[in-house]
Amino acid sequence: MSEQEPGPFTSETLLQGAAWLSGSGSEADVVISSRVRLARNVAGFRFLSRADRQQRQQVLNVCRERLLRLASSNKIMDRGGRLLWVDVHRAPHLERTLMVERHLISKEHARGPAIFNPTAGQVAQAKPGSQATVSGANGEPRGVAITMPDESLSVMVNEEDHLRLQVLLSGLELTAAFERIARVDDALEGPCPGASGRMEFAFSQRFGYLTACPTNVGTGIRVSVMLHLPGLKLTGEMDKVRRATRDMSLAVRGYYGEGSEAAGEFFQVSNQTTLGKPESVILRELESEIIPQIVQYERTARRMLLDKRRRLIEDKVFRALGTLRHARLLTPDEAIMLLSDVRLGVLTGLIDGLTESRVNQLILLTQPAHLQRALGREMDQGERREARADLVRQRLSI
Amino acid sequence: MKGGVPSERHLCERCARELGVHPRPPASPLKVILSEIIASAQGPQAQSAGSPEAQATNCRQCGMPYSQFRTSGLLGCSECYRTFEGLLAPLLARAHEGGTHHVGRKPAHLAETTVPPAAATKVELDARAEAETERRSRAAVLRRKLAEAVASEQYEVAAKLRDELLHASADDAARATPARDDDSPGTADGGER
Repeated sequence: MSEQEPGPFTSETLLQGAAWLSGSGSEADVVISSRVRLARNVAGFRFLSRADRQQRQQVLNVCRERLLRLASSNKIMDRGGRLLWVDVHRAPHLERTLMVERHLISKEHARGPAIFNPTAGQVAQAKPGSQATVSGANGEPRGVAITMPDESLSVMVNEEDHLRLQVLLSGLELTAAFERIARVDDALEGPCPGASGRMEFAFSQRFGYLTACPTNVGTGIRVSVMLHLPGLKLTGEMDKVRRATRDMSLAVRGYYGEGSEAAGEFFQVSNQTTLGKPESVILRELESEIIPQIVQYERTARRMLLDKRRRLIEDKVFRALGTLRHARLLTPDEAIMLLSDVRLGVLTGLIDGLTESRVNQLILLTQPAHLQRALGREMDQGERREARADLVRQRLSI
Repeated sequence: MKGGVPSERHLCERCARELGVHPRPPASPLKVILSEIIASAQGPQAQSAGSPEAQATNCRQCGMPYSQFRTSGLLGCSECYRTFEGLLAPLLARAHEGGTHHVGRKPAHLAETTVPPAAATKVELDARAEAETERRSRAAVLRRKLAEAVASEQYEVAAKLRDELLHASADDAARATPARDDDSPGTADGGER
């Protein structure tokens, strides 16, 4: 994809794909999405912090060729569709941000990596948010492969590791996500029609899959679940969640990742350790033990609020709906916070005539890049606040 | 863009913190007690591996000095894991809640041709994993109680919990087999292209 070509996500197709926001899958009243990712490096190549541009390009070529060949022989596609390849280093800023908002690539992948200077023997990390990196001046070869149209599988090439495989599904579907990603993992190392030689991943008997950052070594797996917990937040019982997760070495983060406040009562729970436990145990701890427990806590809290503090929950929900239907300026944080309250209203039956998936779509559409793409023009922050409020009013009109 | 993909690069920052890349002097009773645990978990072997000479080593494959890893939290190639094994092993055990050896999936070509020394059958592997989970869960509970005891200034209780935790760590160290595993072809041939 070059600067001149239209990107894959047009204003007409913005609401297609992003299957993880469909509101389907198990426990979808509380669990927004399930994500499994694997970190892998190709044997025989340096990790990226010590690779120069030529070596990065070689890794990119090898991985891209294999991914596209496997897709065309249908080895990594699940339900038909096609595999989209994007050269991230050549993609326009808006396009990269769209992919971040759709959870297809990380912010770091959009921004660009640290660059190894072989002469100085040093790594220079581009400063986050600096103009040079945000505008895409970091041209280090990197890419992403995405299954279209559902976007459930994405493979980042040359992020922190050579390969970052991700499967993202709606609801609590970790086992399904893991089975899918394991098939892709196997296919990448297996025979590939037309490809020259095998691809082997860096692996040691002691440490398992070798990753650039030792916090990922071993299985290289990160399993995370996005939860919507407005009931527990309202009843002041979030400590229950923190206690349940702390003893299992799980991390609880906000919607935007580590260090962020939980915008709109959306929380992510994920494993922190990757060495010494098999994938099956890590999955089971989340899918069969911790998450069902949290789901029950949340449902109990919602029931209790409806039974005993109905006026409180009604006030919160309808105040949010009223603001969204009448506001003239909206920041992304305020939008997500209010939409979170409205989602609670829809799920508890307090609000009629709105569906969960419509609310989920608005959470995506009110993000900065989506807003600009939906309206077909680039806007500064002030213009976006106006446009965001207009779009929400229009979509939530009575 | 503020929202979007759950960030994972931050784990390197966490890594930097957990791996002691930016150690801070103990400033409170809690930190004093926890640092004792961390020091004891490393053991004499690890401390010798962490000598200035060992830390001055460069990776024989990519040439990366250990000091660079301490700064960036990132390794340079597969071979770094072997070159710095003595330095990394105790840090990995800390970062992974006591996990020292890989258990789980492996490349298909290895599963076909080799039997891992630590797990001959799936049943044994699952049993090991169960035991490991239980042990870690117990340690995590102890650590939480310890933190709570220190926070509420119950230092006698804290000292007792610390001893229990140290005892558990010592048991683990005694059980751990000194490891010098053969690496797979995936890393052994590590030549660069």
